[in-house]
Amino acid sequence: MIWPTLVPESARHVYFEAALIIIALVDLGAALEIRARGKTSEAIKRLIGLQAKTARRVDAEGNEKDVPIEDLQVDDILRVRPGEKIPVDGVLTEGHSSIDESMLTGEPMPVNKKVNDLLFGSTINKTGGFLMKATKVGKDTMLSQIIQLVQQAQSTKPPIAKLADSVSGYFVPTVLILAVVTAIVWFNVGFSAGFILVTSMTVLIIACPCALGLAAPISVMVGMGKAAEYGVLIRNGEGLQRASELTTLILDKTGTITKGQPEVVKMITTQSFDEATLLHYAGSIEQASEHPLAQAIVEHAKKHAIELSKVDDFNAITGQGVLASIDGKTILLGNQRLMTEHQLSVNELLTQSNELASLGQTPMFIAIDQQVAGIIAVADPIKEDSKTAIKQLQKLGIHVVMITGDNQKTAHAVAKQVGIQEVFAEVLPEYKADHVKKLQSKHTVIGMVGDGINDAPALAQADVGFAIGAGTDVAIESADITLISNSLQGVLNAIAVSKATLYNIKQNLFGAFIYNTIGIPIAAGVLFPMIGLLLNPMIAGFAMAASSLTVVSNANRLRFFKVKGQKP
Amino acid sequence: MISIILFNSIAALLIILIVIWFWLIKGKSTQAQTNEITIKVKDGVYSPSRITTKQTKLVLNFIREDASPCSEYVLFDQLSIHEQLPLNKLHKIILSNLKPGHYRFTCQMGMYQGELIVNSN
Repeated sequence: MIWPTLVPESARHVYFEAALIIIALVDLGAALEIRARGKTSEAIKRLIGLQAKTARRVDAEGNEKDVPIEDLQVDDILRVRPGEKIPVDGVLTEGHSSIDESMLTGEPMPVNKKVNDLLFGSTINKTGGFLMKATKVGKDTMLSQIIQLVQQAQSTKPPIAKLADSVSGYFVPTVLILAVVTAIVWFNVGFSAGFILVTSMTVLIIACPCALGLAAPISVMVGMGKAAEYGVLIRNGEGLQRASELTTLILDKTGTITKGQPEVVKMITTQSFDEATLLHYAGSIEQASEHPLAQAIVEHAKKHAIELSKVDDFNAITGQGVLASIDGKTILLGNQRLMTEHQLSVNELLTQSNELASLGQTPMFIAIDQQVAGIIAVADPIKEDSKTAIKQLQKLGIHVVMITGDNQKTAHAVAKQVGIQEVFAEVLPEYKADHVKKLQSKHTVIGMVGDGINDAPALAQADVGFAIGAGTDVAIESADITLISNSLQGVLNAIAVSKATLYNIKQNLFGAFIYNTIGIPIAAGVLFPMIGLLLNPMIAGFAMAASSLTVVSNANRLRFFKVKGQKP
Repeated sequence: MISIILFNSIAALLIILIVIWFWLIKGKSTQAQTNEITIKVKDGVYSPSRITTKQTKLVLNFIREDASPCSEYVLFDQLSIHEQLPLNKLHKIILSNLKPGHYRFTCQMGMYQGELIVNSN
């Protein structure tokens, strides 16, 4: 030391070894932290790694050439062979195959694809070779959108982090002041300059704003990535926290609990008619209608190779059905009211009609030339896993409610089949959000799951909006969480990942707060007068390095989180 | 006795200086003359850390020279922007449709702090 006499005798100790070891420990901690932090973004790296590198482009002359995917343009025709990755999003134009979409949806079962079906880049073609037309390339593909969404969400913070954020803002000056206050106290009590120097410095060394500042962001980063692995895209930290606190979940019926694709499930004929005749007239008349139930009947007729006839004088009567002239005969197809309005009695079929309705099916009467010919029952089948998922949600203590525009009878029948007690039926789309509001006044955190444009206001009104499946863009825009898969299991996955992430954040915050609130006073020497404990600055350096490393390592544990019974 | 008064006075002065430095003094604001400005991330701070502009579109060229992992990300919370800053490389952040107001930008932990002030024309 140069001019040691300039300082008091008690302050002449040089502390070279302490300075060296502290710097070494802090640097080692930082190095280990950088390494651990690299792992937190592994989910994103994995998503980026899913992208195909090349594609086999077919030109106008039919020549095929492998090109980098960066060179692909919209409308390019591409050949995809079995076992290959689909290079970009597009539409299947020739051939058929089964596609493994698990990397996007989390659903392990391959999906069969035929001409005109949508294909997503980076999914894997399992069996057949086919041609496809590129519809989205580069940053517009679904995978790129997912990566962008996850990256953006990873930077957001849940409300729980607000306290840590506000503390972080005052942390550095407060610690500096505490170091000065420590010096003042020990000086006035009469301790030596060396003691004052050690305690003040130890306060500065042990204080770790990093642990506090990192506690939430690092867990959010890992948690959002983990959610994406399960096909759950969480828009922001608030959505993540709210999903873990859900008390009530409102499920839209069509497309959420049911498949959203109605199909003919039963046909009943009167004695004078057979099923083929019924299907011929029903299919023909419904060709002119745009109603989803009409499409189900037309599809059913086509499936049974029924030739359909030309429709004349088509007339749709709101709330009743349709009537038209086909092959010179007057055809009526609709509900009981339509028949009654046309002085037709349905007494013969009434019992069966009520039975079908009680099963959640929609019975439609058909009359040919003023004679009731039978019933065609259309139903929107319940998704295979809806019942199990709803049961599991209820097991978690979540109150599940169903909302639908369907009639009371059908709605209650579907609700009964899946085990839901509270039902809002015959709700017009514009009033769905009002029902969410009403529930918000009774329950604490309300979630809403829907897929259609008509669900968007309710999704926005709910505390957590879930857009399910290949939902409409409007629904996805309004939702806090997008479930890529078309299954309610996605909601369970979202809840499980968000709960695990929130738990992890709480552990980190608790650790960081406790570390600083205990470590700083000990470093300042509060225990010295009582038990003679004074913290060595080197131990403080080690503790400081270890604290932020602990936070990062704890967050990294989330990478190994698994939803029970589900594969990411 | 004098030494006690002297020590306590110096310590009190130090506390006052810390309060003034961290809470009362606002850093000098740099006026963005064009719609492009370079911000260095070095030694635990953004430089400049306060930028005033009248532009509604602004290109921020971040150059991160600070190897600390804390400086790895820059966040504009109000604009939902979160960008990773590569070490010793220029990283452009384009802000468009900026409305008049104060936009804070920080590192992931809120330790590095800066402010973008957009004034109306």
